[in-house]
Amino acid sequence: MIRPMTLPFIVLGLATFALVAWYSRVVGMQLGNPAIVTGYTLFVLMILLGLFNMRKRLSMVPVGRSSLWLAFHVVAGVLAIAMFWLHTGALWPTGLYEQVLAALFYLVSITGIFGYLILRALPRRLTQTGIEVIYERIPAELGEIRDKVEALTLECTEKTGSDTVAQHYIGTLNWFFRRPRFGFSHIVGGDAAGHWLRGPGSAARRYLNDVEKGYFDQILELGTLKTQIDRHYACQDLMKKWLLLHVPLSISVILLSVWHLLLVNVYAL
Amino acid sequence: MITDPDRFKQDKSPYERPNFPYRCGRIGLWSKPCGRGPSSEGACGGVADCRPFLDNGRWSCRRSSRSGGVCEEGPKPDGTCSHQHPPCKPMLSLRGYRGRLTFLAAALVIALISAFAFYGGGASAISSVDPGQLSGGHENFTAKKGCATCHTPHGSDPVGWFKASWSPGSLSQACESCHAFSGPATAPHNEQFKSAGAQKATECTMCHTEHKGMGEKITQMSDSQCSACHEKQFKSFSQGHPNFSKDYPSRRRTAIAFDHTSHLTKHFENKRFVDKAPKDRCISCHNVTKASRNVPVRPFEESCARCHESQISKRELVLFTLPEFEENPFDMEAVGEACGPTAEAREAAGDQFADLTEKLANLASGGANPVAAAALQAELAALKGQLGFGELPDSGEEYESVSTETLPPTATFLLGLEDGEDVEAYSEPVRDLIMGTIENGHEALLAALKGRGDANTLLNDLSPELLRGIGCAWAGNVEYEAPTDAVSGGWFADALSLRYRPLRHADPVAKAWINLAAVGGEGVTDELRDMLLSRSEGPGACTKCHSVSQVAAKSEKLSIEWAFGGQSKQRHLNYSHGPHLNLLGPGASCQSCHKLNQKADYAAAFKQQDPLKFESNFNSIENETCTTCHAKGQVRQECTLCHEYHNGNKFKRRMTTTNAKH
Amino acid sequence: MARPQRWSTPFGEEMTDGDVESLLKRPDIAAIEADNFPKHTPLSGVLRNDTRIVRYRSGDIVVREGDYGNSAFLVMNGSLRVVLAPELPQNLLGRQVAREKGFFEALAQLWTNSRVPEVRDISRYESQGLRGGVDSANARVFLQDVPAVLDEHRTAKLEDGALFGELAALGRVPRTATIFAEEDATLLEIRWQGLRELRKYDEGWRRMIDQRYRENALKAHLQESVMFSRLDEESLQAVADKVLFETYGSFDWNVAFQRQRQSGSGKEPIIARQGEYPDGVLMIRAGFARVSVKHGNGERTLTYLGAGNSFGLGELYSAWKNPDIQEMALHTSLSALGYVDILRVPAPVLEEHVFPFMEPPTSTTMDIAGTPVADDALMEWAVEERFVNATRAMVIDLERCVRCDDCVRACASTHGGNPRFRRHGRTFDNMMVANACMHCADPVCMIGCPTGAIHRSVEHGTVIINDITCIGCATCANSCPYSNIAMVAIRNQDGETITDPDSGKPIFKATKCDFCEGQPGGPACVRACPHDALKRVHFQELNPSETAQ
Repeated sequence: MIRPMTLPFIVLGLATFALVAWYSRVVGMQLGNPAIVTGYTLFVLMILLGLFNMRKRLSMVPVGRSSLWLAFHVVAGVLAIAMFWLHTGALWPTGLYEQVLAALFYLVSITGIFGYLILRALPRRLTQTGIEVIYERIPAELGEIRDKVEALTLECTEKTGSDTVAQHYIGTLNWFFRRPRFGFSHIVGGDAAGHWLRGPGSAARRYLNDVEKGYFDQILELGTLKTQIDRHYACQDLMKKWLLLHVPLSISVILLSVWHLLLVNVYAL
Repeated sequence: MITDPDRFKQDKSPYERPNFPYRCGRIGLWSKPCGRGPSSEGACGGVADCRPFLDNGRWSCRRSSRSGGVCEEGPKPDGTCSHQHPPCKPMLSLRGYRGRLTFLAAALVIALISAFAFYGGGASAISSVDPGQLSGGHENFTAKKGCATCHTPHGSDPVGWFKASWSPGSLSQACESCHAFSGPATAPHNEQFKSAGAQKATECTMCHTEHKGMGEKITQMSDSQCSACHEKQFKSFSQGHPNFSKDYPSRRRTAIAFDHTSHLTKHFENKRFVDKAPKDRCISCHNVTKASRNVPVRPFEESCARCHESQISKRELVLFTLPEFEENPFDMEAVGEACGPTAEAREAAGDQFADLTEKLANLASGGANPVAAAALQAELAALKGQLGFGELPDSGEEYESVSTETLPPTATFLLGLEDGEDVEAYSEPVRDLIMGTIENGHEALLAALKGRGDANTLLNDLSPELLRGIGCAWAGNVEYEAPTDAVSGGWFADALSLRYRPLRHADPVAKAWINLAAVGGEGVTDELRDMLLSRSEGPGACTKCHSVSQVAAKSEKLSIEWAFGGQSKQRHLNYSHGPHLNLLGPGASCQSCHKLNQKADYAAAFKQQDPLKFESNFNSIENETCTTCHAKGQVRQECTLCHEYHNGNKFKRRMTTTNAKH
Repeated sequence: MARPQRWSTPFGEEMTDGDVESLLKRPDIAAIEADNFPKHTPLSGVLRNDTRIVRYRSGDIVVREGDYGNSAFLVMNGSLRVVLAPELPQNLLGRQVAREKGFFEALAQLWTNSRVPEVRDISRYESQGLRGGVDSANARVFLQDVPAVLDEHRTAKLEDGALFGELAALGRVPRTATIFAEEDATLLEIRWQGLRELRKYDEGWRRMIDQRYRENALKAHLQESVMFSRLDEESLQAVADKVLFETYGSFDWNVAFQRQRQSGSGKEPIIARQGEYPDGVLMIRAGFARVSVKHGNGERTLTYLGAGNSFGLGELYSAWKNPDIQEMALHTSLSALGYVDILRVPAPVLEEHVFPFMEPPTSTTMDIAGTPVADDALMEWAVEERFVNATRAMVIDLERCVRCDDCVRACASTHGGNPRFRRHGRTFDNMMVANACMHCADPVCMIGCPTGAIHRSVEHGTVIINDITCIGCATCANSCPYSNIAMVAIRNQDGETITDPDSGKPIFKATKCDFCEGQPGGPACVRACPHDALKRVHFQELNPSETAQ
């Protein structure tokens, strides 16, 4: 499922790779150093990849649609991995410094690929919850739901004079409503939360009379709503937090590359 | 809020501001944020819900609708809001957190690079300039000076770094501090090719890359590295390699004129020699245990002697022949004095002479009585007179020379004459030489040869007695009578000539004379050369097998190829018979590569002296000979299997000695 | 600062009492019965504050075809020409791109944007004072060679006493024609609030406006329709004379709509009912109408009609073509979505002047009824939510959107650090219409703005708010049926809320998406979306029967 605007970039990327691979081979044939060709290409690619972050800060000026930048970023990222292998000629270099550089490069690549995959997969799951909630508002939404649940619990206790629901809330449900739960299940598309609500969450229902059941069902309904919000939290959180790895690692790789470039120029060329 | 159908209303849903770095700390507790929000510096927006307004002396609530509108309680009398809540600790947004993390990562990387940038010179130290372990050999050599052994800018200041990045080629210079070659280090193949145009300088690092780990074979090259320069491009040895040169591997005729064809097909098959013919064909003569580039031939004694040894001693060298004189050149008195009585006279004197001589000898050895000695001397002198010493021949009798010969070229060479037929020219020198040999033995001959060849070898083992014997005979114009117990070889004389008969193969005297003729020089006449290098007569027979070659094209100087040389080694080419023989089995299959060319006129090449004009006994070896095995999917066929890039690859002495110290 | 009051920002700052006096002496003004006006909005007040006297020199363009305007003009003296056909070339109209920020000027926002939300420099309000409602420029574009224009274009003359622009001002539709001054002219410009008052309280003006409309603009309007474009002057006049004006729904339809949304029920005024016999073609002049058909026990929306569309033509044409067929009842119903202006062209007029000369209508709305209901669920929803009004709705594809908020940040970066929309809104399937200004075809937000701070950009037709003249009354924010205008409390550079010293209440300003007016490169939100999830959509593009008759 390749988006149409990515296609030209894929063609361009393949062409670039073919050109660089061919040229580095020619240089190698002439006993030049093909690593210079591939290395500088890789460095330029890294800079261009890094510029995507800059682009996001420059929304106020027309510097190309971000979607084009992303398409470029994805293709150039894959190209960079290929270029990296072309450059090192191996999966794993020998020098300690290069090993650190390679390890970070691989981490950036892996986080990037991971990010791309979740960004393609998770929005669908969020849409299918049927609700839409802004990430920053999730704590407030949970707080609101918790307030409502606690209000219902109090009201139930006052109206019926029985604290069964309240006891259940304190003993069991509170854990669920306190904060987002079952994050991993939400991310992988499981229904652990629903299962929990139907199981331990509903355990007290058989001890309730009809009035209490009315309140209790409202609470469970709010629990179901919270499950959907939890799903939003889990997925949106992951869609944001992978960047906590990707971006700092990227800047590290770029800085290490600069030093690498400097050393190569001073020591080996 | 999600439960509110009117949640999108502008007064219920303010703008979310993801561009601001801080968010209300209550969010971290999974509860609702306050209406005010943190400041842009990250401080809590305030502990009160509103700031009451003094309206006509009364405080009135100004709580915003977003925080719940005007409150019931209203402000306190002192004008403070009645809705106070503990301040929160605003939290960074995820982006803000990410920004800090990024900054930290960048700072950490820079710090680590700086911290380890110049730390430690040793190869084992942790350093951000560490590019990986060196290959085994280099690892040891760089242990002392570390990176600076090869990388001159290492440890220098930024200026040095800056300069270094603009000065290419410094690495090759560093290599040269240990490595040396027979040619220029940065020339391709360490050669100065004449035919090539402007040669590009090469750098060691073009082919040898370091820092690939201890076990990395940095000398291993790929074919593509070779084809980088070579104009003729081909895929692999089996696909497109240029043909070997004509007659490969022969570049010249063999040193020993051994006609493989005639020996193998004629002589060894001959029933007369069946007991002498080698049993194992090729390897009977070629010593496969020493096979390398060549498979050397076993020595003459093992290979050739059985058939050819007997022929050697038949080849005599005539050094001197008594020529004809027109009148007696000798001063007979002097001859008499020098030679003593003639044989007849001595016989006549009989025992008296012998007795007297014995007495005299005893006296000379141990006698102390001078009177007795003097008496004896007088007696001896009388006897001498009696015997006719010093007597002139009968002057009336006409002189008739005992010899009718002329001088051989060896003799004219010895005497420094131009030819041996001019009686008037040679009479005196011959007389002087003969008189000299009578008086001084071969010292006279050595003196004559002085400065022209190795006289000692040329006259090796020539006994003074023989010389004196023949001298006195010829001086007395009589034929020399050789002792009856004539030796089987070495110097000897017959009636009128002094000869040498080679004792064995590689006889030094014969070799010396032939070399003398081959090298030429002062006094070596064409006659002498013809005589000594003649394949049909005399010692020149050596050259029947040992080829006579011009030292250089159009040179008069010749050389005799005494030793089996094989084909000379070519630079940059590495072929060894060894592995092939081991693989194929010794001797069994020499002919699978070396095929006899029975039509070739092998012998013709040896009738002239240019070693490069030849026809080999064998068909030339073609690429196909090799590619039957050395081809893709079969035996290795990379360039470096046969070719060697460098010219005279060696270490500098300095390197090996300085490192031996620690 | 004091909170601005109604009329504290008069339309013309130079209007004097003398001017009002002399205006009142004009016969067309004098005819107005001032007694009919309520006390809080006297006629003199209207004239004083809602009108201004503007002078044009020969060749000056007064209004341009296609421009959005919110004022009407009364010719006081001089003569003007309205260009009928062909249209004037764009360069003669002096059209050019509004002054956009240069690249570096735009880039400077990177560091000039405030880190404090909603910061305003109050000195700007003071120095500018309270200017007139619309942000009109004093520069004019004029035609260099008026005789040549008159030679090459068919024009109609407007002379002393002519009122024009009232349709655009009242119906909130673009100007239908270009008008320029033939000779030096003085005009009384009446902003639409004033026009509304005059038409509301004076029967003479109401008739006059209708009459003027019939006389001047109607023909041009009719000519724009495919049906009447081939008619000659005489026939057109005949048609125009017989056309009836009708309006359906309330002027403040948004209030009813909001009430309906809360209560979940509400009746739309029926304009034409399925099964009834049509007596003429209905042409929509302004507003939106729903075309529906009975389906099960409900009404199924087939499409909606906007300005310029017509209804009932197919049925009338086939009845005329085949007089034997008795069945000529309407196949569909037409109901008003809010406020709809209708022109009813009676059937006999059509039969006489139009049908003999026109091609048969190619498609009808009935064609759509053949598709499964699920296919036009989107249409039903768009109509139900009144998104059909949108010309630039922000539609986010939720299956692509990764909720990264890049659009919001981009918006903030082009608006002084403040976002101008909220990334939430009503959803249908995977589509979310975010709470960002849709720049409606029928911008109800502009109704009731006391100062005219909210107005259409003359260049782009986008709805923008002049922050300087906005008094923070929240009328627009409350009017907007889509909750796309947000009131914000403004702050000073230190982050302190600016309050009215008299009441201690914070000063509010209405804010909303301005479609990045003046920013280079168009809306930043679209450009900033890395996944192409966010689009600005004209809802008519979702309408399958846009061209249906």
